[in-house]
Amino acid sequence: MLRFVLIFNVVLLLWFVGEAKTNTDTIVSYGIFLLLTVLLGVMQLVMSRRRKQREDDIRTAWDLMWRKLRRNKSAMAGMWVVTALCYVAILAPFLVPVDPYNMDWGAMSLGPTAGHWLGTDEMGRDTLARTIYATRVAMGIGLLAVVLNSLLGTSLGLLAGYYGGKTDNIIMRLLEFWNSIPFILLAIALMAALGSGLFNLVLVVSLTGILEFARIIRGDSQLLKKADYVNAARVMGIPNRQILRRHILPNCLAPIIVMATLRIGETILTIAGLSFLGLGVQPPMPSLGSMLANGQQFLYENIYMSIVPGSVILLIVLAFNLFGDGLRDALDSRITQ
Amino acid sequence: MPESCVLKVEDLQVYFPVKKGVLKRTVGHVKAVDGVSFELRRGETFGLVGESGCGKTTTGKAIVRLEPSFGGKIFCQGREITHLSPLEMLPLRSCMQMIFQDPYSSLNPRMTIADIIAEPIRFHRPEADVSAEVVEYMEMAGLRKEYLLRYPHEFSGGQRQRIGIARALACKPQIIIADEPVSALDVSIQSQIINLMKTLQRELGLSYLFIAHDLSVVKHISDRVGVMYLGSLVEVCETGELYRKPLHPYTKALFASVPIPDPRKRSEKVPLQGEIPSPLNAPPGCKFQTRCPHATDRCRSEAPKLECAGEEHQVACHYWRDIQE
Amino acid sequence: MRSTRALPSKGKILSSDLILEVKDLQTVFITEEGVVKGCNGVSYSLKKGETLAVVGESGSGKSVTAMSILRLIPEPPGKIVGGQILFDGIDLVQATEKQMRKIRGNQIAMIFQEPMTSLNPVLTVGRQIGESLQLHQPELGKAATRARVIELLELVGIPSAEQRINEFPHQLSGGMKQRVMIAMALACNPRVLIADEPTSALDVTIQAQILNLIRKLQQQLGMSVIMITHDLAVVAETADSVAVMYGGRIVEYGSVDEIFHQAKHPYLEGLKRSMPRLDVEEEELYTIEGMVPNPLKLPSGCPFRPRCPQVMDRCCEEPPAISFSETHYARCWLYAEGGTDA
Repeated sequence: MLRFVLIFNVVLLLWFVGEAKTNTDTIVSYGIFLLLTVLLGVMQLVMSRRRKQREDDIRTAWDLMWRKLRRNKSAMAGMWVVTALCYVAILAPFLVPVDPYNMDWGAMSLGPTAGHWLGTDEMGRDTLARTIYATRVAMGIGLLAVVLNSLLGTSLGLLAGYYGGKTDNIIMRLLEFWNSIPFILLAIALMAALGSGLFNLVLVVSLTGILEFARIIRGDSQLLKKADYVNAARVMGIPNRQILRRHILPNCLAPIIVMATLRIGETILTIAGLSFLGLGVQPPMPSLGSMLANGQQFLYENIYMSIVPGSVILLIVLAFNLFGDGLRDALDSRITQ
Repeated sequence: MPESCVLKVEDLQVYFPVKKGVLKRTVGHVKAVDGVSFELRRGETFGLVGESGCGKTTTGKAIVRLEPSFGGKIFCQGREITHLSPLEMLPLRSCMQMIFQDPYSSLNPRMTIADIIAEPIRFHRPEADVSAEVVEYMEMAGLRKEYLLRYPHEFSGGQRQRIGIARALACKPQIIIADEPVSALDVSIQSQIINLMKTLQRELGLSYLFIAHDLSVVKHISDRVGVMYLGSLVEVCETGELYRKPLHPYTKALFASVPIPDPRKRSEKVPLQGEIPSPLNAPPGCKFQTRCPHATDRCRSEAPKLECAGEEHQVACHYWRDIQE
Repeated sequence: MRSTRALPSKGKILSSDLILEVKDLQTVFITEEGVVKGCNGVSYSLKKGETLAVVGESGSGKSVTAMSILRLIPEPPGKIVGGQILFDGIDLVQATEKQMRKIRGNQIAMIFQEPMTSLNPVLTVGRQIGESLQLHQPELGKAATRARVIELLELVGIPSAEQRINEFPHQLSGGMKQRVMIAMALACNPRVLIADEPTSALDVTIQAQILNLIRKLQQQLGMSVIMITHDLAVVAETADSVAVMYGGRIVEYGSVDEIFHQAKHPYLEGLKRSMPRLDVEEEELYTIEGMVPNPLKLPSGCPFRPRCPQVMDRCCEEPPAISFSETHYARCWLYAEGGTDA
């Protein structure tokens, strides 16, 4: 499997090598793609080496998970869409037919034509190009916010669950307090106070919903700290920090992955919502939410301006949810026997 | 403390607070372990038996400081460890190790066997040749070295228990606290683990505190046995004598309850009626009085202390002399 | 002694005595890893008032057989693929779900190892027993149900039953919960009681009480009992006949005395010698080498072959059942015609 992805990536790399140095956008995209491909290659190498070391084919927990996941058709569909979206997001500058900022004054508010496959908006910008770029923005912000979010949530949850007592009380009460502020209010206040940059947007989105993350991880680590292998480590005198890192965190990984996956879809929806309200990504940068908001004004003149970004949002959220649900099912009884 | 004694427990108490109300005020204590004293000698196995809820596992956990002790003293190799800080405990940690009951929860499912056994070596002896030692301990515990890179879920219960033993050995301990090490295993696997533990004891001069509820297993492996009931020791004795001539009425009933695997020795009578009282409201005086056929008013008011009934025999009963028929 | 007569189940047992007969039962589980033969050609019979002990280690198929009798095997992954279970002239393998519902609890009742998980924590003890009563005897009125529940609780030796019926399961100790489970099982006067490791989670003093209770009730009510256990000592205390299972098969079957004093199969022999005993002094325990077999990777022929100290070439083939008496047979090549010099 991984091998085909690798070959595909290399083909793409060679294909786009000519355009790689067009502008900063393409350089960055090409760099990221190259890096990911190299990482995949290293992963493939490590995995094949490990397989060689183990003479017989006893399956690891991950193999079992993969087999379970593969039988779940909707999860696999979700995974393929997510993968495709990742490619689109990373390689956006190479995929767009025209510059998404380029205004074609001769073709304003059009339906699908030969020049503009999905039509143009009221300023003559290509809808397809803008949607691709908007997907890239949404995926980028979503991923970054979720990474921040899960890092924060996981570490707070781990600490609260493992140490318990006062630590637990302080962390959880503070998080509950934070969570009790309505999200939109918080977002408006923060964006007003900090200004509406991309970075601030990520910050706002990643700070919300830490509580749910922390709660689940806290519950898990409370259970895990009673496991006998943690007791064994304590009897050996292993310090708490190492116990947390080596024994508790790796065993919380499954719920973290599942939650993060589900959360990406949710976050993208949230960002779209904020952008729709004008609080999120600021024009002229394309974003799914503001495209939708824009399209809504021209609903009768040009329905494509709303339908395209709307269905992309639907697709993204659906794909992540299906994939996340499938992951949850596959990881559910991961290490029973 | 004599030279031969590696572990000494004096009047150990482990109380769990009972909290109530919004403010979580402590309204009382569950006396899980209430004044237990015994010593473990070099190279011997001291068996601790009793029914569930009698505090035998809590005693073991308090000794390795997995549970905080409320009162009493624990000496390891002549040094009191009851109130040492984790840092001060560190050098003594490797001296005392524990084997757990549940072979499924005692190994980290995300670590390979090599990592599991290497962890204590890397931590306590960073200068050691880790991979060579790992293989050495695996062989000691009867595991093939091809298993090095496998994960725990690929093993059966008995093999996992061997991995747990190898991990404990990797600390180079002198005392091993074995908390029901065979009770989760199949009968045909139990004897393998018991024999392994006996062999290791002979070769490495280990001392075992063997906690179990299975009297036959304890009889087989122990040199001396302590019988616990509701947080206290009721009888401590050399194994042979205890099984030949138990003195405490509880010990007698306990032994008589064990089914004998021989249909020709079938017995119809039930030696002990009633249930263990909850440690939350343990009766005053002798704790066994609620089920004891010989209980008197004295038992209801005055708690008996362990007294000598022979050279290696102590019993906590007011009437042990009178109830021998 | 040595002859290869037919199996005892086809012997001289009067058909009126027989209450349950399992014939060549085969239950499989289809998993991702492959097909697991949970029980592979198991046959046994139960007479009126008899206690049959089914003894074996984990994965031996002892519980699967019992669950198959009640058709409680989760389907999928499980499936009964062959054999017959004859009860009252009905083949339970072919019976409809509606027929089974009438038999389950009413005619054949079951108690489980974990009384904690088998009781509903949010219902009082009285209500749970009452519900199972009314399910099978809907004509019973409210007062009559209550009286019957109290009667049942007293029958299983629960003191002050009138108060206990208003308690919740968590207020009872493990032994008391098991008594409640037995009371529930007895609610409809079943003819067969299947007890799946009824005392494994209990302490020895409580175990003695519960075993005695089951024995007493059996005599009182004339039930037949199938006692599933891993503990040979429990078998010795309770059983009339014993089926020893290994790797999904019965490897030896006989009366309790034959099993304990004339054991034939090397597995049973090894099992008995590897148990530490209170009544015998032993220096070193005998060990059966190797592991309990993975049900996915059972060897061909005799499943005990890889661990057997007396293994021969012929063990790769399916061993025949060799009869030693009317009631006693073992499935081992050692005793076959022209076997060995053993």
